[in-house]
Amino acid sequence: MLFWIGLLAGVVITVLVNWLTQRKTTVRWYEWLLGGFGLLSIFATVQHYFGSLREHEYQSAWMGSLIFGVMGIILLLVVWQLVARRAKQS
Amino acid sequence: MSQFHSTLSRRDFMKALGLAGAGVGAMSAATSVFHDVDELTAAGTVQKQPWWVKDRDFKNPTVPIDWQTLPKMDGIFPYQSAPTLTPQERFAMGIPGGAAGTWASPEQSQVLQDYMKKEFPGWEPGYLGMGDNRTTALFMAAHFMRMGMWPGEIQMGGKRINVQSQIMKAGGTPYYWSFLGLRSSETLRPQDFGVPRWEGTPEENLQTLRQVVRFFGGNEVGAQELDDDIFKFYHKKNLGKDLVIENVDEPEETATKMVIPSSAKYILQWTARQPYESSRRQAGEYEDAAVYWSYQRFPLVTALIQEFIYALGYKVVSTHMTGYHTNPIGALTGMGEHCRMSSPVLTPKYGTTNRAMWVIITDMPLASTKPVDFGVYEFCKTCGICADSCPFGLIEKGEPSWEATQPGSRPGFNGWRTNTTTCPHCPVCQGACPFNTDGNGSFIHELVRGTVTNTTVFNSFFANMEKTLGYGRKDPRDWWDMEDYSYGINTRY
Repeated sequence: MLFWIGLLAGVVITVLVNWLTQRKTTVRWYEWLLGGFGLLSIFATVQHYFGSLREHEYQSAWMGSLIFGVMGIILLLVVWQLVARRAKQS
Repeated sequence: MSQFHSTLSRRDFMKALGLAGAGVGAMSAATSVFHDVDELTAAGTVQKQPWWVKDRDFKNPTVPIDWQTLPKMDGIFPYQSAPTLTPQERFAMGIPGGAAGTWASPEQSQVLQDYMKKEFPGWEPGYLGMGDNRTTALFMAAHFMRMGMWPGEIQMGGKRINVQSQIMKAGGTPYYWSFLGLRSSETLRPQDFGVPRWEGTPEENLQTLRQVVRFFGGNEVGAQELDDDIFKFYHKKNLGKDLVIENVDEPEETATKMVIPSSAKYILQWTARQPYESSRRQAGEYEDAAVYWSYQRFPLVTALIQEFIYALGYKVVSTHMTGYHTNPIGALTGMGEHCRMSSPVLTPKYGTTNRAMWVIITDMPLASTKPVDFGVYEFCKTCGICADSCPFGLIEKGEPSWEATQPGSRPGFNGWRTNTTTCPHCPVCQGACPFNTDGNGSFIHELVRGTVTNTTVFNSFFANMEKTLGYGRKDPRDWWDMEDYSYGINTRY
C-alpha cells in the first residue's frame, strides 16, 4: 500500500512541478507547506479508509476519511486559489 | 519534439545512479538486521516493544507501589459461587442462562441478556444465554479441558469414562499441571546421562525461553528477580498449601506445603494473545469461546515451558494460575501497565486481548526486563469506558486509590480494584477497551499511542473519539461471516 501511495505521489509531484515550471508559475514556500499538508491529509484519508476496513471498523473508516479528506481538500483548494489568483494578477 | 529533449547531463545521471546505488546498498544492509522501526528501536533487547513504549526503572511501574505497606494476600481473589442447577434444569424451569461453568446468577443472566439486546438489537440469548446455536456450540467445544482440567465423563472406545474421577481415585489432581511440573517419565535431563546442562548468559536464556514460548503458541516474555518485594505478590497459600521459599536443594510439594528453593530466584512471565475478533464479539452471560479456547491451550503451554526448563536441567516450579497476582507482576516485568479494569494487564500491542500472563519460577538465570510506560495509567484516569460498560458497575470509576476499596483486594498501590465477589465474568469489559486495536489497520492508532505516551492533554479527546468513531465491542453475529485468522490471531503485528 505504502509503495503504491509513494509511487503515485512521486508521479503526481513530478508532473505538477514540470507543469508549473513550463508555465513559469511561482509557488511560495508557505504554499508548498500548505500543499504538503493537504497531500498528507489525502494520503491519511486513503490509508485510514482501507486500514479501517481491514480492522472491520466501518464507522471509523467513513467518519475518519471524511475528517481527513475534507481537511485535505480544503488545504489543496486554498493553495490552488492562492497560486491561481497571483498568476492571474501578474 | 524539442520539449522531449533531456536536459540531464551525463555527469548528473551518473551521480544520481551512484546515490541510488548507495541508498539501495544501505537499505539492503539494514534489512538483514532490522525488519521494521519497532525492531530498530528495540535492538539488543529480548523484549521487543513498539517505538512509542518507554522503559522505566526496575520496580518502578507507572502504578505507584508502596513496598513497605504492601501486604501479602492469603490466597486467590474471592469470587462468587457458581449456580448449582444444571443447564437442563435451569432451561426446564425457565430460568435465564445457565451455560456450563457460568458464574452468573439467574438475575445477573437476565441483566446481561437485556444488556446485549440493547447493545445489539435483534440479538437473541438462545437456549443457554450465550447467543445463537452456532455460538453456543462453539462455546461448548472450546470448554473442553479448560484450565487444564482432566475431562469429566467422555466417550472412550464405546464406553463413558469419567477421566477426572478415575485420576482422583488414583490419588491425582483434577488438572494435569502441577507445582513441580509434569516431569514425564519420557522427559530426560542432561544430568540423567552425566552430561553438562546447557548454559547461557541471562540474556541468551531469556531469548531461548522467548523462542520456546513462541513455539508453543505464546507471545511475549518478561523476567524479574524474585526478591522479598516481588514475592509479596505471591499468595501465602496456593491450593490450600503454604507457599514458601526455603534453603533446600530441590523444589518440593508435600501434603501441606509447596517449597520453592531459594536458588530459584528468577521469574519468567509469559503471555499469549486471545483470538482478537472473537474476543471483541463476546456476548451473552459468560466469557465466550475466545476465552475458553485460550484457557484450553495455555495451561498446557505453561506445563510444556516448565517441562522444557526441567529438561534443560534447571529447577523449575509454577503455581500456574492460582498462586500469585498477575497484574502487578505484569507491570513489573514490562508486559504492560496496570489499568482501570484492574484484573488484566494492558499490553502495548494487544490491549486487553491477552490471556495467560502466567509466571514460572526457576534457577535458570534470566535477564530482568523493565517496567514500561505507554500512557495507560494516565489515560485510564480520564477514559473510564470499561467502567461505563460494566453492566453491574463493578469496575471502579474515578481516581485510583491506595486503599483496599473492594472485598478481598489489597492496599499498598495507587490503583483500581474490581469487586470480584459479585463479578460474573461476563464478556463485556474486555472487548470495550480502547487499547484493543488491530495493529494492521489505520495509522491513527500509532499516532494516538505515540501521543498518549508523551502527553495527557489529548486523553479526553481521544476517549471521546473512540466512542464517536464507533470503536469497541462489535456485533457477535458478524463473526460467522468473517474470514478469521488461524487461532484468531493476525501475526503481522
